[in-house]
Amino acid sequence: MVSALKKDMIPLPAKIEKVVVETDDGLLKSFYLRLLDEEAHRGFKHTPGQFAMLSVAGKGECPIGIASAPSEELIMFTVFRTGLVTDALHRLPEGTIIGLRGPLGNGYPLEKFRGKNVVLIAGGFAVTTLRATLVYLLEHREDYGEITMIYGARNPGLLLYKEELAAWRKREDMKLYLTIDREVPGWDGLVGFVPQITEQVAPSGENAVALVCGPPIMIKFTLPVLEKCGFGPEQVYLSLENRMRCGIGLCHHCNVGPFLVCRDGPVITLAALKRLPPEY
Amino acid sequence: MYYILKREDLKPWLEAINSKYTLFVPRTRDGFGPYEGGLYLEGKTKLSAKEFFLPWREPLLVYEARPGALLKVVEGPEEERVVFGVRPCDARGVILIEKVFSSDPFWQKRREATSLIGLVCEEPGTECFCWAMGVNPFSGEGLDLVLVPHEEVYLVKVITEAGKKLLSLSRAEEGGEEEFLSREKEFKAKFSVSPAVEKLREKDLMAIYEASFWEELALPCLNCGACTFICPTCYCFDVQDEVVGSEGVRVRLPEACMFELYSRHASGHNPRRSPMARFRNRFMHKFKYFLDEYGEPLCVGCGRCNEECPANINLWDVIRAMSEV
Repeated sequence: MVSALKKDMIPLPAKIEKVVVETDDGLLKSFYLRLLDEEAHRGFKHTPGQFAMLSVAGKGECPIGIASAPSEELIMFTVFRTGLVTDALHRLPEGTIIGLRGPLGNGYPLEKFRGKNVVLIAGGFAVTTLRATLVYLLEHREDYGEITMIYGARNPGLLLYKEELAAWRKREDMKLYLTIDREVPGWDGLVGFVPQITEQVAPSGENAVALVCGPPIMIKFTLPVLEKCGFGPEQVYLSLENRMRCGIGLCHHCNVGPFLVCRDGPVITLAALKRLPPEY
Repeated sequence: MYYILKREDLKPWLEAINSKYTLFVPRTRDGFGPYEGGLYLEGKTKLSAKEFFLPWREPLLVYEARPGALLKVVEGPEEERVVFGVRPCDARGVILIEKVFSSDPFWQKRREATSLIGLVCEEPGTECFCWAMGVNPFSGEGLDLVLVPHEEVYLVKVITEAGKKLLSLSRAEEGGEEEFLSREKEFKAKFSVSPAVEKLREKDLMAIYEASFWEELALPCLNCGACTFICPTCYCFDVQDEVVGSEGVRVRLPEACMFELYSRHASGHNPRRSPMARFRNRFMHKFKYFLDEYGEPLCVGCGRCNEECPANINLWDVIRAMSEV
């Protein structure tokens, strides 16, 4: 059964194998999924940056970025509890069957990034697909230049993937800058908003790409910093979000002008975004 | 191939079709329904033939309403249907929507199971303008058969094999090609595509989007969505999970980009918060985004939106403004 790759509105059953509460406030949980159909599970091949529709019977579907890397055994989603479906999802125990449709969207053009320095800039829980990207980059370490990640959260309790962060921090072949918004006792890392930290780190735009994921306000102030560092609009990649129903270019809810986030995105260069109406 | 069908032979033919297939006809000005002898042929119906392919309620999945239930695919109707009296503008609407929906299995299934018999209008409408949007009602595009009322007969053009088979149930006789073609020629000589369409093609997308006329033109709009539901080319849909007792069903329903909820995120953020932004999005989609992507405007000139708009907004005021940026 290869229908996992077929783009229609029929979800495949997936079992929640594991749930991890990621943040102190309990609003972010990671769900590790396995498609019930073994062949479909093996055939699930995605590119970091893609998303999937998660289905809770009786509640509906919602688009969530895929947080696992393609090489990882289980398909993982870190979900913020905020709406009807995500709220229902948060109440489900391990072992429950939900629906999954995907992978959908374009993902990051990682082949194109080969030989370049890659700067990952994340704010809050938007880090999920950049986690998938980072895991991929580290697995293909020799194909890429310097790897830098700048990741900020409001406070230490809201940082995701804490064990992995600790491991990445120790690595010599990448640089990880963790920051929180305000000083907190017991935090010995950086303090300051992501744009400020980016300015201090000052990654060079030469032979580099920057992948920026975060709340609109963070993106707004980070973009000028990147420009100062020499990143042209073609070198900056963003990931858009809009309300969507189908995820396959039919329902038209997610349009940003002629650009459908589900079909043409969610990943888009700043250069392309500048040519679109500001409807995101 | 061309045929002539006498007007008095129409009803016996419909009876014959009805005995073999499920036949739908325009029954009143409101819309189509199963054939029961009555016919409304005086003009187009309020609701277009779109509903045969994008129904008001399309069940996609059924499930037991409990956490962890498996979702089962709804197979959908397989019954062969014939729709008589489809106006060429509505048929063109189906062709335009199909550019987006061709790979959707629910759409495909309905298309395969449905034959369309077209009926050209007696007189070009005063409220509609299919020609301005590039529709040639005599072409038979999207149809299996096309009928042209002509004096005491219908001139019939066979478009597909399925259409030929349906016509064989009638007393139609071969002939009428000359009259059909001269009627077509006459129409084409009199009516042509609006120059506004060509102008829209050449205009810069952002120049139209950022133009100052939108505020003024959108002012009377109530965002009621009437135009979108009656439009034969509007195809946006919503998906809802409906649970009654222990049974759940996921359905696809027509949706309107005029509504605030259409684009509102779970966070509360809405990229098209203002009524004007939603008004603009609808027209930009029809006359720029779709035009640029598929080469044709997403409009068939049926004029229903003009007729039904409670705020009396006229499509041409918008098209003119857009094309003259």
